[in-house]
Amino acid sequence: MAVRSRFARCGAPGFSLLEVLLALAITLVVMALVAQTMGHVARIYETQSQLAVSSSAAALALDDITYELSLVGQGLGEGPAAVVPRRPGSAVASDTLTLRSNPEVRASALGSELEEGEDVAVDPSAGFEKGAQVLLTDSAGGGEAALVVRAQGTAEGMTIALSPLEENEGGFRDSFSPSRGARVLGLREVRYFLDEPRADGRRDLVKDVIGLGPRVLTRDVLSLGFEYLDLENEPISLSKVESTPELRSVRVSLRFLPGDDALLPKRLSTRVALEPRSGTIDFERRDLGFRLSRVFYPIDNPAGVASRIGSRFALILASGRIPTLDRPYLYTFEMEKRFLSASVDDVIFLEDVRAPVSLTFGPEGGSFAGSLFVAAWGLRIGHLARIAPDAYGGLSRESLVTAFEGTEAIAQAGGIAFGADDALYVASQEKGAVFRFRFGPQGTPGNPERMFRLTGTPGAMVEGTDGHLYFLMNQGERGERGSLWKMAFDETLSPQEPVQVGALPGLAVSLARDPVSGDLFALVRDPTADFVVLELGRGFLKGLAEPRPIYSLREWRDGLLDLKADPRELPFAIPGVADALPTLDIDELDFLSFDSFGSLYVGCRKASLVLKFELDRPSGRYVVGLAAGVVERGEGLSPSIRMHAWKKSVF
Amino acid sequence: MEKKRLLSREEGAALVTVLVAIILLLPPTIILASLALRWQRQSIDFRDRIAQELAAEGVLEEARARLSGSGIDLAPNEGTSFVPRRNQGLQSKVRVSRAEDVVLSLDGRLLEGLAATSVDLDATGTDAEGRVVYQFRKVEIYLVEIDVSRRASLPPVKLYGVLAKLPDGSLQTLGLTRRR
Repeated sequence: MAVRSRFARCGAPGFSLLEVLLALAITLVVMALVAQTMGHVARIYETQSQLAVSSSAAALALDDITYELSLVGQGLGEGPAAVVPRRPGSAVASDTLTLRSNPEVRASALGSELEEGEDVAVDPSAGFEKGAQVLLTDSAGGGEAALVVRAQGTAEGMTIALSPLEENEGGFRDSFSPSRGARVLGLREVRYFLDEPRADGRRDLVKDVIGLGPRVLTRDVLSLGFEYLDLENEPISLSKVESTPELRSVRVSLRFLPGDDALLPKRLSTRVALEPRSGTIDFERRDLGFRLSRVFYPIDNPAGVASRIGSRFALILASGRIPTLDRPYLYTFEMEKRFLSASVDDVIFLEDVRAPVSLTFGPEGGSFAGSLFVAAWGLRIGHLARIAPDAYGGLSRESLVTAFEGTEAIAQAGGIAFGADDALYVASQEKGAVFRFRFGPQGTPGNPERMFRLTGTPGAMVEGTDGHLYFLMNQGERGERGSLWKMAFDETLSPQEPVQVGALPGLAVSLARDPVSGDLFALVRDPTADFVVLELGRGFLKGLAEPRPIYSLREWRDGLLDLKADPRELPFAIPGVADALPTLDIDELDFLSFDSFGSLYVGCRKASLVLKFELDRPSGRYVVGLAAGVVERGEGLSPSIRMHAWKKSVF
Repeated sequence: MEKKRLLSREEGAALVTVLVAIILLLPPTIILASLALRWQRQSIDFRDRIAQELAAEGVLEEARARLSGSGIDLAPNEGTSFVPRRNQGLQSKVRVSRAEDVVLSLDGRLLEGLAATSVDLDATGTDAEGRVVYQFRKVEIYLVEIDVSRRASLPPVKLYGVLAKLPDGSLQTLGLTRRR
């Protein structure tokens, strides 16, 4: 009983007040620590939330810009500027971008000269309505935004009245006339810019779609940058963005400082490639091969054409009426002139030279720059001659002509060309070898060195853009198997054993290099006795492709005769000139040459004729531009096609 | 009786403490988790959308290749569908239809319908410089409709391309329209 009562007093269960207070104090301290930690966590959470929200908004803004950039130019074609680094009426800036497109593909030519507020006829199918934004442009490119202030149908069609969207004194900034292909296009314009900075220096990024109004894409922006790049990813000056056709991509950069507690700004960047939004259709007829641009006649036994880079003049080497007896001459002419409108500028007679067959200019940058070298044919002994430039640096009657001592090496020279070592290489048909001439300090050639013996008959020789020499060779019993060979130079500029590059479909006649494209062209007599010009592109030189035939004498001649019953009816610049023309009904060609402007020449010895052609390079003169979009018709989708550009020459 | 009451209060304290802690910590945890999931979903959606758009462009290139080769041969107002080469995880639908041919004239007109069929496409002429130029050029117009989807919760990307086949057989893209 006593024990039970003691336990009842001392071991009383439960907590004393002191214990409870102590536990409460400890709990409070722990809760305070937890609360403090929670506070920190909450603040971090808040900051991270702001960062996430800002980052998401910034990423979405960047995505929006990317998407609009991917649509830019839709339906506008190539003429007007679709990417404009400014807002209308303000200067160009790297943080402002205006994007134009014509998604509805509305387009019409203007029926008359445009005056502000006056009715002008347009194509009713374009569907312009009052209040619509439009873009005015013409064959010169550029563009000016305008507003349709009146649209009405008439008995003849439809008229609209326009006023400039940008405030200008005196109406439109430019004049728009049908004679310059003026046209009006539908316009969707989107502008991106930064609003005025707030007190903390941060700004809002605003997207303004004309007709819909502005809206803020993201806040807290420190800077926005648009960089415009060309095909080589080189930046384009802001002032040239609107006018250059080189714009290929836009890099967008966005720096922002999320929330109030962010330590460092964040940066997002992306690059958007601009895609073509229209096509062009060329009206020039290509299937007649090259375009005849001049006829040289009579040229006695023409042997080749040469011109020096940078010169306006080119030379035709004529071997004379009877090459072994008559003195040859160089016929000089201005390369830019066409047909027979050009007068003969000069004729240089080569008194001590007979039967020249090949010519080449000396290498630029050396002592032979501007000098013309001519190889003269002989059955046993050939000659080399040099025509030095006159006091004015050109070739004229004042030029000094030096005929060097004859040598067997040049007998029946097939072609000559300077190599990378500044020595002259000669392909000898009679010896079946390649010879090298090194020149002394006085400019006289030393003894010929036979470099390589060849199993065949080597012919024309030219230097390729890679610095190696290329030459033709004919093999077979009758020399009917032509091929292209390459004589490379190693690092020490020593010539290497020639190797065959590829076979040609027939007898190789002549070889030349197009200075514009750098490609080699060969003149070949094919098994049907037709003379064809083959483009020996880089693919052929690497053994990956066949030579591309781009011209057939027979097809060209037949086509020409089909087109004009008499080739003399071809339009020539000077009346009466056509009467002096020879017939172009020729059936063989002897050489192929290029001048430094990229025009191609072929010569016919039998007809005493040299024909100048312009190659099939895009002239862009008869080009019509088309743009298209997709419209919903009924339950389906249909393409909507509009002409957006007409070259001036079309009208 | 007193002892029993005190003991019962002590026995519940731990549970109460845990419950209070759970009640306090659960909401922010749920919010954080939902936000994390939302961000993850957004980034996955963005990635998938980019994949859809790239796939759609790839399909357009394939349609171009088929049109320029012998893969698709259509008469005007005909259409066909094809299964594009495998796009992993993406479902693609492609339809290529040929519209009525259009004819462009050298004087800057676009001829459609009956007017387009009544011109002499071989008519040529020479200009003042001896260039031989066509008077009319016929253009075949193709509409390519591409629909690429990844999953039901993500809207498909639709890409419409208008292609032109020129008389020399070359293809040009006249316009592209994207719809998200």
